[in-house]
Amino acid sequence: MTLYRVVHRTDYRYGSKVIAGQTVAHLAPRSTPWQRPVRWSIRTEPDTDDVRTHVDAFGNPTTYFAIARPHDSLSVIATSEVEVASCEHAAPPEPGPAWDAPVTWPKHSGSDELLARMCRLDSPLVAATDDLRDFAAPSFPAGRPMADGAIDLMHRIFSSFAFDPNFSDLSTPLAEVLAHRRGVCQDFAHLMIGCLRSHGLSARYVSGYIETQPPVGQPKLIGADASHAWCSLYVPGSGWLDLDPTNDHVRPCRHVTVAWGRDYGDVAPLRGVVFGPPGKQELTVSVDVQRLDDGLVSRRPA
Amino acid sequence: MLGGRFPEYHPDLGRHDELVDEHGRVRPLWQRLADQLAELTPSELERRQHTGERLLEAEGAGHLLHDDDTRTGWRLDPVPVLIAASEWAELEAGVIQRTELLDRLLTDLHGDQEVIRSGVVPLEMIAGSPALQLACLGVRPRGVGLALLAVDLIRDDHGRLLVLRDHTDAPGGLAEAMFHRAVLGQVLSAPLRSLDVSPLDPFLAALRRSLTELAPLDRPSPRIVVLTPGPSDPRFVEHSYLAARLGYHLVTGADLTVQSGRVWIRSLTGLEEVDVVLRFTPDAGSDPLELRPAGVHGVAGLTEAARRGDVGLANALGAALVAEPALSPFLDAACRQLLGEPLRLASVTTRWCGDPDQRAEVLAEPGSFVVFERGGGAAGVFIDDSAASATLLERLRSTPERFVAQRKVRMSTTPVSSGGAISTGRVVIRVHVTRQSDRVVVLPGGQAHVVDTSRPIFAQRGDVAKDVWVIGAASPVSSLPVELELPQVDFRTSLTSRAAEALFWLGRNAERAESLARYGRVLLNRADEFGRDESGLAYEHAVFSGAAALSGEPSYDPAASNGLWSELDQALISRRGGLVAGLDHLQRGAGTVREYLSQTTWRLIASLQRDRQSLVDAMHAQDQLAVVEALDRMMLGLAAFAGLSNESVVRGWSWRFLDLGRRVERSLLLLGLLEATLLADLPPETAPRLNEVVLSSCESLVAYRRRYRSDLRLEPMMALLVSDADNPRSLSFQLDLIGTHLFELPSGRSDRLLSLVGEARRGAHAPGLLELVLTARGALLPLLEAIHETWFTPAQTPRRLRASRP
Repeated sequence: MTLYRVVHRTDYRYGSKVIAGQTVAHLAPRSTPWQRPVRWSIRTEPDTDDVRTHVDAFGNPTTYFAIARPHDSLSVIATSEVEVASCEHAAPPEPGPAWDAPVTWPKHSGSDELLARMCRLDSPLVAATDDLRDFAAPSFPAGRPMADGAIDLMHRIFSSFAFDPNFSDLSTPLAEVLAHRRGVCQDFAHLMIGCLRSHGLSARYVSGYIETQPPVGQPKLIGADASHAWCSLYVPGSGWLDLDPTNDHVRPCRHVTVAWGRDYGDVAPLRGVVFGPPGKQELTVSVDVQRLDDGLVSRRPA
Repeated sequence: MLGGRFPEYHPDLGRHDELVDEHGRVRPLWQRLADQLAELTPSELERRQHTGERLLEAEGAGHLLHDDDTRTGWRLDPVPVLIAASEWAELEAGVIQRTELLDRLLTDLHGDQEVIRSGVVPLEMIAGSPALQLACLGVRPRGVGLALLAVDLIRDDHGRLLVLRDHTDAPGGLAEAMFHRAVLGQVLSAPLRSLDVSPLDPFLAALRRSLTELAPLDRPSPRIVVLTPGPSDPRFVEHSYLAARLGYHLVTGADLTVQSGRVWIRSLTGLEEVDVVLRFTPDAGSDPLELRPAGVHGVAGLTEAARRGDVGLANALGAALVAEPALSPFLDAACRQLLGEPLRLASVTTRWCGDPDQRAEVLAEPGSFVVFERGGGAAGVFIDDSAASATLLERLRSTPERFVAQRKVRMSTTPVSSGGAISTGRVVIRVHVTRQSDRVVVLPGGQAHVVDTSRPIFAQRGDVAKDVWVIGAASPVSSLPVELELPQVDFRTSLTSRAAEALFWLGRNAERAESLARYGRVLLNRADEFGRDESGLAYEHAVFSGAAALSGEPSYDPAASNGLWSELDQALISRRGGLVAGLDHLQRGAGTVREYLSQTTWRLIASLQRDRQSLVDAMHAQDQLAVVEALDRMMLGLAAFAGLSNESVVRGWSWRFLDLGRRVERSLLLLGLLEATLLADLPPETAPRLNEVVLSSCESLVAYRRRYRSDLRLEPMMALLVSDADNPRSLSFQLDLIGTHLFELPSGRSDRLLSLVGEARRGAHAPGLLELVLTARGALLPLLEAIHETWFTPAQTPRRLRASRP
């Protein structure tokens, strides 16, 4: 296991004082078979009057907090310590059944299967289209095992798309990302999910972090200074297979998972409303992910 | 046989008709009503219909359906829909079961999802539903999830009642049903009495109990509010009527706030906790923080409050999901699973195209179906040979899970009256239901509306409404035990800021309308007596500049005047602050504070609206006599409104705000009039004439003559209109009352408010007349501002936080 410490800081500055605000946050890493949150805390400035965590429809810990007094800036600092299974323990992925074999869902579905069935459908931000299907088609010749096809698709996205933080924003349609072959990790995750869904496969959106400083001798990953996003394919028989098209990683293991859903909209790190006169909002986000145990050991000076 | 009684009634004897059987004989159920209707001549029937419409209007319901400006009224058909008690009992049992089923489904779909896990309800159907609110998953309703719902039914040509659709999310029409029954009680009182019709009123007591039960357990006398989207909602009148009938506060999203996970009402004295919300905001407009599509309406944090369980919601958030038409094909199986029995009430055959077998059924004969695209509006389309149909079917084949189809139904016919004649029509019946923890209560009868079967009927509103009578042996509901009602916590002192402001404006608008009507009346009088002599012109000037100033428009310039009619038109009809605008604000404003006003008020407002129309018509025709008549009637109506405000509004903060508005407005109007009079500076020959009209505009001419028995001179006139503390039209009188109101209102004794009133009072005794006017107004305008700042919190529109993206 590797122990990571994550500090995710979000700062809003409001152009004019707001009277009150309420926020729903996906900032607490969830438990997964390969990941165990050890410690988590959230701190806000100004102090929150009311904070409560519940579990959302996808099983993600979700934090509601409210600030019921005038303020002109808001800082949210979420700190977590998470144990993640180390890379060397990862088994190679199962290739899975042929992507075009008919799926039979069991009559009585478990939670994972229900989520998989949900993630085959279009979602508010990711709808299957002919263009997405055409783009993905070369990766899915008839009869190819679905995981192999998805991995090939991921390689193609990684090699043919440019990472460009200035190209898109939250409202950029997937069609434009596809047409211009550029975007950020969220775009690539959505793109890949759309490609998989357009082939009738189940894919979910995963939000999380990548460690900021790579272990000695390894390259720094893209998207390490902000929150990160990738996707996960449901492979009947073996379960979810995480694929990071931004870094071309199968079952990425230097990643900390926070939450998953159908697309970004289900797991946005912060969603909120403020009351008060209209005014500008400035937003800055910083993320720092450090290894606390073996990573530190390896870099400790002799 | 009909025996020539209804010559226009030609039912198709090959299908079910509600009035006559297959041999053309009047059915026993209809026998007595048919006899009584047959005694009415067509003109008498028509007269009763018009009376009904007038009465509806008098209830303030004449435009129950109104868009902000364009009103689409409906016609109430005096001929009801009849249902025999025996058939009703069966229907009622079916509706009760359906209510229990939908309530259980709502809890299950948002909780354990047994129906999905077991494959009874396809996950794909639910997950693709535009009504699904993911934020509501895991939120357990406190108590029953569906405290109030409605079911639409139609009768097929075999006479069978079939469910057309359910309404679970902000169900509408309950107040309509109440209105219609109240009206028919007067229009058709004899049949209504003689036919042993089940009464509707006990249902409200049952609804009260349902709501009371939803309160958190530790609160024996819960605070309950009715949440409406606001005056711009087409059903606003209904919400305000229900709030008044139930005795609860009517609130908009801006009146409520969520703090510490609880719901609070913003009142003049601060926050007061709310225990139960009867919600007429749809799911999507109930919580801008968590519900979708993300808007700005509703109460931010309501979902979190529901999650914590400290507030009862009727209905639970996410309630729209169980009214999904695509759920219909799975209801029988769900009923067997959840209730262990088959579904009793049949539905119009409905198919969800995401299911291969159901899709095949639709595609085999698409012309027999109405096709709905989920989330694409509720209207639905007939499938025919058109290109549009072909495109739609194409899309249905490629994304079938997005489509629902409902089989067309040949409907039975029922008597509908129009213009005095009775002919056949087809109706959708809406049944209202309230669910309590241990039982379900169905409104016996209710409402129906006539539909046009040449179009899909699913979402038709219909502009002809009907009452529904359950006839015969006392139905189970009429034998409901009398409810011992729990006291609702007294909200008398907890006036919302919004209501306070609305009442204040109501007072201002009533006073403004009354004054402008009187000015117009006096002006036309003068035009008769003197023509447009100097004093007449000066008065015109006084009135028009006063009216212009009130509308915040540039002051009146006599040189640019286009003559009396044009100016009158400005002051009475066209101007933003004119008479007609004032009346409209008055009507709309009264609707937002219905629970503070007496019932008679509505009759007055309805008659004022009729006078308003006469005035507009008369002005348009430049018919002076008709204008004078309309203005006269209006003045009487507005005087009556003022009387009611004093005699029928309970003395409390609400009344004080109403009266405060009136006093402030009267002061400002008076000062405007006096200022213009002083500035006119007429020669001694014509000045008395101006003084005379000014006095009569202030309803003080008689008082002047009795007191001074002299010429109409300026100084005594000013004394009467300004400093005489006994003249209810004088400035001093207004200022005294303003002072009293402020003193009695919470936080009304601030230094700022008191010093401004003092300054206005001192102004009223200033030595020079013009100085007086200017000083008094100089204090009143900031006072107005201070009143707004002290009590009327500006609406807080929520803004969304910018999203950070990975």
